[in-house]
Amino acid sequence: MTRYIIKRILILIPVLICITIILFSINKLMPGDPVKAMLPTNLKAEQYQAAYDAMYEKLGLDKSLPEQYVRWMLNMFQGDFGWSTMNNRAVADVVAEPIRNTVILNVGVIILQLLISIPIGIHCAVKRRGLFDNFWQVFSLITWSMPSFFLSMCLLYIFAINLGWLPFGGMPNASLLSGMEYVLAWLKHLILPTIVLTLISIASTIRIVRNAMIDALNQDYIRTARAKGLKEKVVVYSHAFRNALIPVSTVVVGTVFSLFAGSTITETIFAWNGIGKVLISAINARDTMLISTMNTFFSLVSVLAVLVSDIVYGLIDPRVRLS
Amino acid sequence: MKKLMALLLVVAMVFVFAACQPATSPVDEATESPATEPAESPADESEEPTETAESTGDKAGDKLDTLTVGTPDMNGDFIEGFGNSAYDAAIRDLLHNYTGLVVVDPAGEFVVNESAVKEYTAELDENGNKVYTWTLNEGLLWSDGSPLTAQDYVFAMLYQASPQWVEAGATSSVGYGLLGYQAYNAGETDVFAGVKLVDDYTLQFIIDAAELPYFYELSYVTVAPAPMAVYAPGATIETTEEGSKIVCDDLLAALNNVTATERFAPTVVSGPYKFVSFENQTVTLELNENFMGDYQGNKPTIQYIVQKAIPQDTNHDAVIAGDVDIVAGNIEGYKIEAAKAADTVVTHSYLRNGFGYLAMHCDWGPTADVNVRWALAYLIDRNAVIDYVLGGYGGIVQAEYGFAQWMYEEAGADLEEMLTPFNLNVDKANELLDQTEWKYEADGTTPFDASKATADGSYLRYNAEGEPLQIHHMGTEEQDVTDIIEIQYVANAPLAGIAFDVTRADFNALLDNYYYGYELGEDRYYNTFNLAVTFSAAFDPYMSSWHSSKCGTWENSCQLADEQLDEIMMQMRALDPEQTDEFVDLWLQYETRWQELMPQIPLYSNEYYDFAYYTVDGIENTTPFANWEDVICYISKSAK
Repeated sequence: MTRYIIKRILILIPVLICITIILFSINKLMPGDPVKAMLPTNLKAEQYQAAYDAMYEKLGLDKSLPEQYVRWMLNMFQGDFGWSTMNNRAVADVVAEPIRNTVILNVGVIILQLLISIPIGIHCAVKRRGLFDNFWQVFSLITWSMPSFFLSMCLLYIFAINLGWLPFGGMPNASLLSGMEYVLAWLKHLILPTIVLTLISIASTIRIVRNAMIDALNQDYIRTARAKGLKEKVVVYSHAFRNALIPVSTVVVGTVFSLFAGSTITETIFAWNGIGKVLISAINARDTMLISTMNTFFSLVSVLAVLVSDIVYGLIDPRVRLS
Repeated sequence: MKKLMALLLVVAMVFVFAACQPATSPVDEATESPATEPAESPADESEEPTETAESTGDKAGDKLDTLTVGTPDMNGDFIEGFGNSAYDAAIRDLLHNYTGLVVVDPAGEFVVNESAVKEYTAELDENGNKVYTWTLNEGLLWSDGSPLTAQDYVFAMLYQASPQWVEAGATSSVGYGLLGYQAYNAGETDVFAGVKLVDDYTLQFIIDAAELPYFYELSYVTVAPAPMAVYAPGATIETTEEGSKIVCDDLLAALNNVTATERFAPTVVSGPYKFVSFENQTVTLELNENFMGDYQGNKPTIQYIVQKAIPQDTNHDAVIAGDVDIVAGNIEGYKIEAAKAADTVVTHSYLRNGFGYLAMHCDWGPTADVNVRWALAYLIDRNAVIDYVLGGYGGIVQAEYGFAQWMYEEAGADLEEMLTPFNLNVDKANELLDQTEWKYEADGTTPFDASKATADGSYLRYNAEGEPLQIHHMGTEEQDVTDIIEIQYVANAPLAGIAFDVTRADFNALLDNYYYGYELGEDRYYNTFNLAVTFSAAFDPYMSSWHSSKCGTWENSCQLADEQLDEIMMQMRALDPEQTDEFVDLWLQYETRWQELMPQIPLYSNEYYDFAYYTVDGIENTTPFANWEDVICYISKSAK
């Protein structure tokens, strides 16, 4: 198992290098001059040129492309992710707070998603084609198909505008609050985006769990278990669900890694200062270093998710020969 | 199953109907009148709050010691020299910019800040330079209680004009116009000849004779103080006959430290508020008890200012519900209607001191011909633009001016008589285009017949070389203005034989093709662009910039070169500040000539609306030159 993990990690290295080269190349191919976008337009021509030259050098744009790439990679290993032209500050400083906010938002979403969707998926499979199953099938289809912006706007209109129970979005003001007030402010701001993201995410998980459970419940060993007179609860949870866990585990692992992935539309609508919102702003502003860093980060998270998923798969299912 | 589906559909419909209900019932608007002078007392507000507002006591609007302002995202740059964000600038104003030697008052005039300045003199020296000697009031304090002296003003001027400040990543034009600025700014000398520290309460700024006379000369001799003890610990100012310099072990290291720390969290300030925090797109400021007062000696009363990023599509709903106290500078018709209809909101409007326009490159392509530029001006219905973009809340200007400019207030009626009003007129456009090289059919010899032109663009104008009259327009993405330009010109331009196409791009592409189009050579493609401008208090078209000497630089973005216009501009700026009548006369000539040349087609002038929750008093003091942060001393909150 250890050899397998090491082997997989070694394979990941060239994959990541290829990804970074592609990302770097795409960013360099993007039209526009990031330095021009940074500088204010109230400078005199000669001042402008001096400021332009200073910033051009500071960003390392005077170096050749291969050198820029190598410097970027080496700097990243040392925790220096470059300079955000959009914010005129270090990328690490720009993304730290939004990543934390995205994780805070997604932790609640993931907990709710798993707590809601797994029991419902199991129950739907056990009560297949019943009222409960039909309801959740239709419900998941609607929430899955519904654009997140529409759902967000509906919830905003109901709970923020019409009822006035919840804030319109943005982030809680931590500096003037303390104790329970502080916690409540966070919760209030979290409720609507959490509901939106949870409703959208449970749809697919319910269906995956349901289908995995239906497959498991149709197996011969379940029939055998029932024939032995085991209680239905034992049959469902000890025999069927353990086997249904294999496809479900992939979803769960992927979900855990999605902690770091921002939801661009939802975060933007609710002005949640998350990484998805930052990324879309960076793209609009052609902040190449910030885009490259975030995409590299997401790529790293994705390949790690696949790796962990494979390892978990092997741990759960002894039939999978890792060698 | 069918019953279940029906039930779900009913639930979904109820959900949607509930979501689409209006938030409030329409009532009369509260306040809507332009103001240029701060009101003496908070405005009376008799409207009753809605049930929604009363039902939630923890709303921002109900916290009387805190003013919460909703804005788009901020960058978090809280000292001068970084970034273009207007929302960062609002915070910078509250932290630093009230204490300059000269400030811009709500009417847009440069006035001496009497809270900082005890007295001043302005005299010409033997070389024709103008020496401003400022004597400060005694007892001025920084927010930490330490004395604020002339040294801090001199230091602010010296470090912001220094090459080290540029090297530290900042940009600044502070010090421009003063004696020896170029040499000091370029690093040729570390002594700034135009700056002198006399004693703890006296300093001198010397305007270079080459820059005189200058109508806005007060703008050259002002700076807001910077806390030298914090920015460059251990540094001193050394003044000789040659000027002043900062004596510091490593000025660059000190300024790098400023850009890494003070820039994001200023510790010691002179403005009406102190910095508390910037976290999660929310800035919190606290009242500075040591604030010297605004230029008239007024001080704010609200204890805390919170400026936070909120969703912009619903920012008007946020103030209606009391989720924030102020959202400023709204232009969208639907937001204005909603705010006017809400009885929890006070609205205040003023016309923008600027305008949105369609800019044209005057040195290249068909738009190099003034008749083509005028023809394009006659091919757009500007009233339709205002309806489409601003929901009717705006005005039309005929040249490069703003309704709020003091010159317009003095001579606006004369100007309107002198200028040619223009709007959609296809016949006039054809008449003008017949005077250009594009007056033929496709064979390059048969005269173009306007009666054959149709909206489908199948019959176009050509020149003798058989080249069609083609205009390529670049507009920014997700802009209503770009949409209406496309709608109008795609329909109207073919009627005058013009093929007009529109490309949408981001702002960086616009920078490349508009500001730096002259660098593109054979890759140059776009002729017209849509942008907007807001004039500063100092209207100096040389600087802003239409002078032919600036062709071939991004400053003269339209690349307009006209000797007559050059001459008028130079005459305008070469007046003494007292020669206001002469300035207005020249301004009338300037506007007339500018319109004749038509480098930009003015499309609309917005009417800005500030919305304030009903517990906020004093929002009616905002003007085109003074946003809410500039009149914070006149804004208060009270329970109603």
